[in-house]
Amino acid sequence: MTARAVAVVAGIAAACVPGSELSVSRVDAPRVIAVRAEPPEATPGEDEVTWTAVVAGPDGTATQARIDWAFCTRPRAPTDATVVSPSCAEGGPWLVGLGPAGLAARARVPADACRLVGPEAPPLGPDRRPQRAPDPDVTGGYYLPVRLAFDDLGVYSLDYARLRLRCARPDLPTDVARELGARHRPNRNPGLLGLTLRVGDAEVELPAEGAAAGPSVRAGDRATLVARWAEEAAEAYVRASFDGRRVEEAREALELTWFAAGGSFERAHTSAAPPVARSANLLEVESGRAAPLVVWVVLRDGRGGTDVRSYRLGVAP
Amino acid sequence: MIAGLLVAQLAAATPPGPAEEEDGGAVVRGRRGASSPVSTRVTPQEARRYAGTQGDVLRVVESMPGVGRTSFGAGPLVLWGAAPGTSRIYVDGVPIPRLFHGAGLRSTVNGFFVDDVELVPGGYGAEFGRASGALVRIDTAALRPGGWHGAAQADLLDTSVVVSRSVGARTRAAVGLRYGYLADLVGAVTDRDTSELISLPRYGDYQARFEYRASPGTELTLFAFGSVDRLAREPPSGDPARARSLTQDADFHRLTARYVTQVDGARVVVSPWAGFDARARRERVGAHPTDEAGGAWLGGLRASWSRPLRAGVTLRLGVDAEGAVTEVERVGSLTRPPRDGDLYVYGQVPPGDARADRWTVRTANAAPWAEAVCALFRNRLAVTAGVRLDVGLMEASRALPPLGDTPPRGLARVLWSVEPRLAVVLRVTSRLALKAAGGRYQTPPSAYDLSSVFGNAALTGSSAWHAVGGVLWDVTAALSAEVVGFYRDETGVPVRPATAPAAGEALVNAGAATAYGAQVTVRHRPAGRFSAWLTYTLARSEVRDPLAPAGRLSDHDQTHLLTGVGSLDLGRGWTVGVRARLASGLPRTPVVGRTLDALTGDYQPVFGAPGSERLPLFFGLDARIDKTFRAGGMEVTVFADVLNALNRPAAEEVWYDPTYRERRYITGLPILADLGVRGEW
Repeated sequence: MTARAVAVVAGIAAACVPGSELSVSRVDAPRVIAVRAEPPEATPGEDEVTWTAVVAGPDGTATQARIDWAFCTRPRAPTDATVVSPSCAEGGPWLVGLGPAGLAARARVPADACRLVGPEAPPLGPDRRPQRAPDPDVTGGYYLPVRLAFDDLGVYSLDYARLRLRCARPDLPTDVARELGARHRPNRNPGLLGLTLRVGDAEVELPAEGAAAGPSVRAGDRATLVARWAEEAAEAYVRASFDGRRVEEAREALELTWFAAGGSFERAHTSAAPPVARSANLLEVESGRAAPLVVWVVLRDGRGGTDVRSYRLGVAP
Repeated sequence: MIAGLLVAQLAAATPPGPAEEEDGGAVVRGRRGASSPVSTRVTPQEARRYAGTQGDVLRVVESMPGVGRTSFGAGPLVLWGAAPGTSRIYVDGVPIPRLFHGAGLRSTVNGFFVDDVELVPGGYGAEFGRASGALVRIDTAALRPGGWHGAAQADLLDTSVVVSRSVGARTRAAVGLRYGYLADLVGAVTDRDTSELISLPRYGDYQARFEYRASPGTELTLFAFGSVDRLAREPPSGDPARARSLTQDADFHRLTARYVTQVDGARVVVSPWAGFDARARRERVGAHPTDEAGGAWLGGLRASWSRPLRAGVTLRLGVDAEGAVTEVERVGSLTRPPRDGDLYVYGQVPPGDARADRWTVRTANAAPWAEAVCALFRNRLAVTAGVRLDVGLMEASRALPPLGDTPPRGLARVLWSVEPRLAVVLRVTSRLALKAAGGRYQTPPSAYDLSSVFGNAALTGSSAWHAVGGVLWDVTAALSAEVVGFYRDETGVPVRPATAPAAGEALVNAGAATAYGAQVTVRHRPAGRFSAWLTYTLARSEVRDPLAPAGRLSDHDQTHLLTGVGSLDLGRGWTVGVRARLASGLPRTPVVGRTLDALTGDYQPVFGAPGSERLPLFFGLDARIDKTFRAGGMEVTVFADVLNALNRPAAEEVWYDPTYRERRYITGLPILADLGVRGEW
């Protein structure tokens, strides 16, 4: 910047926002970093869904953890500031347990989910008047919150997965709802193809976490890692326009979230638009580290589809 | 000219003076009476000398008693704790939407045209309404007679030029233009990343004025003026899917006519006006849009008749009519941008839901009013009693949100309000006066809140009772001290409902706002070489709504406000000025926890008690020095205005890291020097 000579300019330029993404990518304590649902979109009353949480810790991916799973059927009020109702953090009849605690849970989606948290006419309010149904997200989706109460490994946290629901749209004009239903294709989870270490002009594949050997970097170094996925992972889909008057075609925006135990990434999130199906990030390895790094990459499609992989990166002395 | 008219601060509720008098060829505009016993008035000559104004007359409003401090980048005025939307700004009785250009850098009306600035924090008379908070009244000045006149100013923020011309004895005209180039300047001398990080508006304003004096006491004035603001910010982002951008546009244009005459001893003023307002705010956070754009065609008529009935009694009658057609488009989440009381932290990712609406609101209001001004007991007691009847028709294009194939249905309503007003000033001695004022006031619903999707088409206005009272002691001819207490109780404030709203009721008239406090002002009027004031306001601004039925602090509450301004004429054209301000930090809601949203990978904040912490106390010191000299036929002033002279950047907002584990303060301006020159001829 060349503004030092101009006091007024320098003054205003200094009035800016601090920024830090390090805290997102650095894993210095066990925490839930992702939840994968299979399938990622479900029809209430019909589909059974399996959720698997990925708990990252300084020593790698946890193979066991006590997580209590529950549906939260209390809808988020359109005036709530966060993505799920604050009531989901409290105990109450709106929490429906999903079986024994663990890293995974399996359950059938409640048949009335689209009425509780979707566009179907919600129950009457306390004054017996019709309530406003929740609004869809920017992809046209409605979601059932799944609460994860993680109380293990010296950590307590409440986190949320959100299951995308396939709901009828009585709120839309009949022709729009009909077209939307006819052209609908269920969402699928995207898939990561691998992670490579860039060495000069070449790229070296990283093995999965737990592998005995693989490429390595020096402690304190900065290394470029490149994640790849299939181009078709970014699915095309249809959604109702925000005003509900027409059907729009859209394509998923795939985004990566990066984590490391033993380092941190320059950016917590990266993305690429089709046809590009790879994305790079800069890893800064902790100085003085001797043990191999664990790197997690989470690929999300913005509609509830998720893939998570963890990799080993050796650290040379 | 008007130099002899100094300050009419705290004038008693007196009948308005004559419109204008010819005085040896020079036109002396009669000073109207104060709008309230507790108002504060400043002339342009005094205002320009104070630090922090950069020679801009209207920026003195920021330093007036009871005015809350606004941070850089946030323009709306907060007066005695009133929410910005409940106060109004008038230029010659015509409402304008904003006093300052974006970021509060400059006022929207060139000071050349300003004759008088009056801040009316409460208890105003029946002539004005539709504002349950406060008023800022700006009266324009008559153009100078005799040939060419004008003023030009250039500094690091902008350049402005005004030229006026008399044609014969009856006709005068002027045009003015200002262009703000600070954003261009920053862009030229910084790299792209820096210029995209900061929010600086490109702005401009214009004025054109025509005056015709048909005869003594009869005058027609046409005044066209307007303001344009453009702001764009796109901070660099490493991830296109999370890129943020913000653009804000805000324009207004007014064409006013003012006809003043005398009919059978009565003063008659008729002021029709028309205008257009537009504002747009478009924000993107990744795929999440938050767009709101609207335009309004406006028109109105203000007319008054004023006549002394007998000794000591003056009757004033008038009508204040306004109409508007407003079209608005909005896309995004219901909770963005946040309203007063919403749980929100700076930079928080929107919740992700998105709706769209496009609606039209038509309004037509007429408010006849009457006021009697009585001077009793040899003018020791002045009583102004008035009443205002505000009747309006309001039509919204859609009453309920779209649902299936249901055809849209509009909603038309008649809204009315009876508003009694009373002001009393008792001169106990020639130097001591007691005063009190009060009444009922109302703020009509904003057209921007009448969306069936994002607001409520059936909203009504909020109404408030004001009660103010105080003591004024004229210690000397120049020095005065005043103590004022105030109480404002407002009901029917549009707020969020507590639970999931009923269809079409995302806002409800279920809020109540109370502001109360006391204010002490010591003022040395501009006599001799010195002028100054020191004012302290202790105020509380509280809100009760369905989410906080027991009450909470308003987001605008600044409990302590201490402002001192002073200007000293050093002689030989040198003047120095200083402004010191101390203000409580605004209430904020702390984040006490975090949850992962596994769908997006973002962390969501868990909020603590609403408004339970504050930004740090603000203290700022501004300084000014200027030198005035004559060059040819021109009076030239060279000035340096230093904002935040102590280089103590204020904490303007709380910033959390993306996991809500770390927090810091976003700081405002460090020291900022503005150098400029002004010429007047």
